[in-house]
This record gives sequence, C-alpha cells and structure tokens, in this order.
Amino acid sequence: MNAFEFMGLLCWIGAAVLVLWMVVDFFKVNITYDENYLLSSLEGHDEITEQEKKHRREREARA
Amino acid sequence: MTDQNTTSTESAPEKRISLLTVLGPAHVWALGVGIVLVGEYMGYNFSIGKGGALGSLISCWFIGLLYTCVAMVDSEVSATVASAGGQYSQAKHIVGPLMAFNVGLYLVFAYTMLEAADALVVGDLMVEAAHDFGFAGLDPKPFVVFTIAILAWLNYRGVFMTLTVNFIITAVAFVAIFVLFFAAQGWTPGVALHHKELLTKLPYGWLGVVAAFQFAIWYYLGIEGTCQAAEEVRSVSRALPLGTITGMMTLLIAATVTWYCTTGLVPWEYLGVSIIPQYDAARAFGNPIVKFVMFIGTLFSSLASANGTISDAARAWFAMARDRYLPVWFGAVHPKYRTPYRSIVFLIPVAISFGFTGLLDQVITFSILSGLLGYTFMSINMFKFRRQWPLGTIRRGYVHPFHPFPAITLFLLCCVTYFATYLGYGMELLALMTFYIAASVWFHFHRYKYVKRGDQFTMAWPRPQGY
Amino acid sequence: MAKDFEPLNGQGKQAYVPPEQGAGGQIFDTIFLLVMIYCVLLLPLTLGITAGNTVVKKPETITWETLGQNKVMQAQWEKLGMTAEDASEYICTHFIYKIEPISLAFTAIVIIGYFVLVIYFAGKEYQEVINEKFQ
Repeated sequence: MNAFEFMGLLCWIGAAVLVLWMVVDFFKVNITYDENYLLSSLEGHDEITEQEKKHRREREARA
Repeated sequence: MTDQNTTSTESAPEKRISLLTVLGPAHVWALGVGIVLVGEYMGYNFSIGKGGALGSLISCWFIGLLYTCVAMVDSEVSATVASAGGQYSQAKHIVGPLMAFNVGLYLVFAYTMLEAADALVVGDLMVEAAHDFGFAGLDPKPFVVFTIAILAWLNYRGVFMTLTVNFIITAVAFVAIFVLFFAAQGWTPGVALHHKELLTKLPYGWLGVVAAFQFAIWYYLGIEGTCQAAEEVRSVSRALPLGTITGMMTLLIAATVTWYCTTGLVPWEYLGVSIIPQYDAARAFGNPIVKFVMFIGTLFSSLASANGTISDAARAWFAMARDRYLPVWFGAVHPKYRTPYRSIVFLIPVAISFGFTGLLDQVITFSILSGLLGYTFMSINMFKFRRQWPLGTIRRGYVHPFHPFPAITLFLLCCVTYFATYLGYGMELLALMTFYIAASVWFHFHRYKYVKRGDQFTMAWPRPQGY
Repeated sequence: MAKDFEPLNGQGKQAYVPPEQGAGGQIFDTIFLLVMIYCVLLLPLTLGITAGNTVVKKPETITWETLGQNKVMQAQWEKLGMTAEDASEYICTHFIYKIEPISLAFTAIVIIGYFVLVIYFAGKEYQEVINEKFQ
C-alpha cells in the first residue's frame, strides 16, 4: 500500500465516521424533539430574527 | 392555518428591522467571485473542445454579455423581492407556484450537480497527483466521498465557513491564476506560452463557436447568487448592481487570463477534455512550484464552491418543503445547529451518485442547463414584473436601465445556448427536459393539493395588475 | 372537498385548507422523486445515452506528422507524458455537429412547450393565490 492508497483508506474511514455521526444525530433529533417543533420555522426570517433578537438583548443588557 | 397567516403578516416588518444590513459592494463582489471561481479551474475548457481555442474565447465574451444581462435584470427583481429565497421566492410572487417549483428545482440541481462536479475534480486531482509521484491507477472514489462528507458535515453543524474564510480561500485561488501568468511571462509571447504554434483555425467553423456557448456558461455560472445577499446589503441600489457588475468584470479578466495561459501551454485537443486544465497547464509548463500552486488553487476553488453549493441546494430544497411543494418532512430545522439537516442528508447520496460517474462534462451540463432554464425564467419574469407592478406602484431597490433590451438580449442568448447544447449534447438536453416536465406534471396534478394558497404571497405589495 | 375550505376573516370567502399528508404519503413522494432523479437523470448518464456526440477518425499510421502536429505541439504533448499513439485518442476525436431538422424541431417544441405549459398552469394557480390573498 503506497501513501496515496493509505490516504484513500483514511478518506473512506473519515467519510464513514462523519456520515455515521450525522445519521446518529439525525435519528436522535428526530426521536427527541416534537415533529411540530422541528417544522415550526417560517419563511426567510426565522434564523435571522432569532439571531437579531439575541443581539438586541445583548445590546440592551450592555446599555 | 390562521395562526401561520397572522404570524407571517406580523413578522414582515420585524424581518425588515432585524436584517443585518452589513454588506457593501466589496462583499457582494467577493460572494459572487467566490461562487464562480471554480469555473476558471475546470469545466470552461470543454468549450475549447466544442469550438476550438479561439471559439472558446469568442463564446466566453458573448456569454459574458448574457451574464451582464442576468446581473441587470436580477438586480432589479432581487432588490425588490429582498428575500433569502432568491429566484424561487421571485417566481412565487410574480409568475406562480408551478414556475416557483421548477425554479426551486433549477437551483437544487444546478447546485447539486456543481457540488458533484467539484468533488469529482478533487478526486481526479488526487489521481493525477499520485500519477505524478509514480503511483498510477489510484481510485478517486474515497476522495470524492470524503469531500462531500466533510463539507456536508460542516454544513450540517452550521459551522460552514464564513464569508471571510471563503474569501481567503477564493483569494488564494484567484492569485494562483496570475501566478501562472507571471511565471510563464505572459507579456512576452514565445518564452513559455506558444500561442503562435498551438492556436489553430476554428476546427468546426462558426458553428463550433456557437456550440461552445454551452460550456462558456461555466466561466460565470453562479454570479447571480450575489442577488441572494439582497437582504443583507447596506445600500441595495448601489451595492448590488455595483458588486455584481464589478464581479462580472473581474471574472471576464480572470477567464481571459485563464484562457490565455492554458491555450499557450496545452494543445487544444487535450485541453478540451481535461478535468483539471490548470494543473495540466502547470504540468506542461514544467515548474514544480507552479504545479503545486495550481494544485492548491484547484483544490481551494473546488472546496469553496462545494461548500457554498451544499448550503444553497439544501436551503432551496428546504424552502420548497416548508411551503409544502415537497414533503413537509424536509422542512425541519435542526434545533441545536439551526440548519436544514434533513435536506442536507437527503442530498448527500444524490451528489455522491453523480460524482461517482466520473463524467464531468455531462454532470456539468446538467448544472449548466438547470442554470440556463433559470436565466430563461428571469427574462420572462422581468416582463411580468414590470407589467404587474409598473414603475411607481411599488418601491424598487434598484431600477435597471434600458428595459426591455437586457431582458430580450438575455432571452435570445439563452435560445442560442439551448441550440449550442443541442449540438453535441442533444440527448442530455432532452433527458433533463423530461425530468422537469415529469416533475411539473407530478407537482400540478398531485403535489399542489397540499400547498396553502394565499399564504405563499408574503410581500406587502398591492394586487398585481391583470389578476 | 367542502371541508377543505374555511371562512377567511369574516369576509364570507373561503380559504383553501390543504389536506394533511401522512407519513406514508410523504415517504412515497420522496421515493418517487428519487426514482425520477435516478431513472431520468442518472441512468441515461451511466448507460452512455447522453454522452457527447463524437466520432474517432485515426490515420493508418500514427506519427506526429500524420496527426498534423508541429514541433512545439509535439513538445507540449510530450511534457504531458503523451506519445503520438496516446495523443491520437484526443486529436482524432471530433464532435459531430449535424443539424437534423426533425430532432431540432422536436427539441425546440419540447423546450417551448415546457415553458408555455408551465407558465400557463402557474398562471392559473397564481390567480387562486391572488384571489385568496387579496380578498
């Protein structure tokens, strides 16, 4: 086995670990949380609004 | 159902207040060039295969005109429909749900195929590097899978590279293009660049030049992604068109320099089918440092591009699911990482399957055609937008000049590019059209019954004229 | 279908209430989409149906001269690790640009028909959206 083939093997292992991590987390989240909660986001502004609210709270706390 | 309606209405002003308007023209420029730059490292060269070296250059400039029209037309609509949904959201508000479903699919497939192409290039780059070190016959598959897996994982966790990191990676790849130019003393023909001896007449005549339009799209595919930053731009009317147009100018220069260096080093017949043309040009140049720089440039541009495409494709799939255009199950957000995790996971095997084919030109063609269908939509969309809400009836972030000429030019150039694809890749064109037709039938006659009607229209605009 | 509509904010008009899709239906739709992606897009690729339309025409004797390569071209091919035999695979492969009126007309009808029908049906759906939104 040359260095490149060894790198290839590491890539297979690395990819398997990452995919396995995602699959485990995927099922864990699906089981742990209520489906309605997971599907509760609304178009376009949910993530940004959350982030902005957090920043606003921080600014107000500082003020 | 009523709750959702109420929330949407109430959240609209909050959305406008909450948006972080932090981006200036330079950011928009970086965003656009970052998405597209991989096109200067691979794929563009297939236009050389279809029309010869000079044919590719001519088509590169004509397609530059197509994208200038895209930038003008899309800047106006995006600056007005300032939503993260991009063209999908535009189609929903201006043309109708079936068009929006198709535009959503164009985005998903343009980006998923680009992601597959990026991974495929990383795999091939490793094979070539191994070959140069004396290890022939390396299997590219583990590198393809690992590239997609690690970037999908980063996107899944929401720890995807920030604009700054992507900017650095892109900047390195951008500089690498000029490293080859300076190393080869591009200003002194004959030292290392042999255009006089390597350039031939048009191998397929002017028909070949037209045929080259298909892959010349790859020089710029994705620049329209700048318009998706509309919500976060400080001064939309200034930054968006300025950033996009300067991005276009940068790409025109980068594309021309790329073409100039590679065609002066590599015979066009080889260049026309190469998967990693910049690296091959460096091999033909013979300097190991330049070869290493081109290796890094190709790798970085592919990773930066793939990183963005995984995010964009998954978000388009997610947005359609949230509107119930697709099974609503895909509309879930990860409670911890706040990412569309189901959509990300779902699209991984699709990207890997196409990456495994090793057929870069055909995978790229799927991406190009999906983009092209989107540009055709944009030209039609522009006419409908101006007719349904004439100037003065709604506040526009930017009004593009010379309407309707950019939209007409865009439409005509799209028609020429369909014809270009018919020349040589006609069956693939029909396969993709079959897919979109089947998907449209499925949506209209089956899927649409699960979609809420009035809730889809979220902009605070008056009733469109003619409806 | 009557239960699929509900009054819209006291204006007497009815808003469309879509049916809820169960898990089985969602799984079926997802599998259907995957089958469509793999059968219509991936399968033709792997079967070679969609490959670029090319032809290979090699000269009887393969030398740099018969391949029409000058000294500089030859040198660049060699820097890429190619012999004349290897290079002939690239040099002698050409695209076939044959414009067949029937296939061209068919392709044009497919693309134009697609856009016309999508915009037509999208327009009908859009009218429903606008009617409900602006009641």
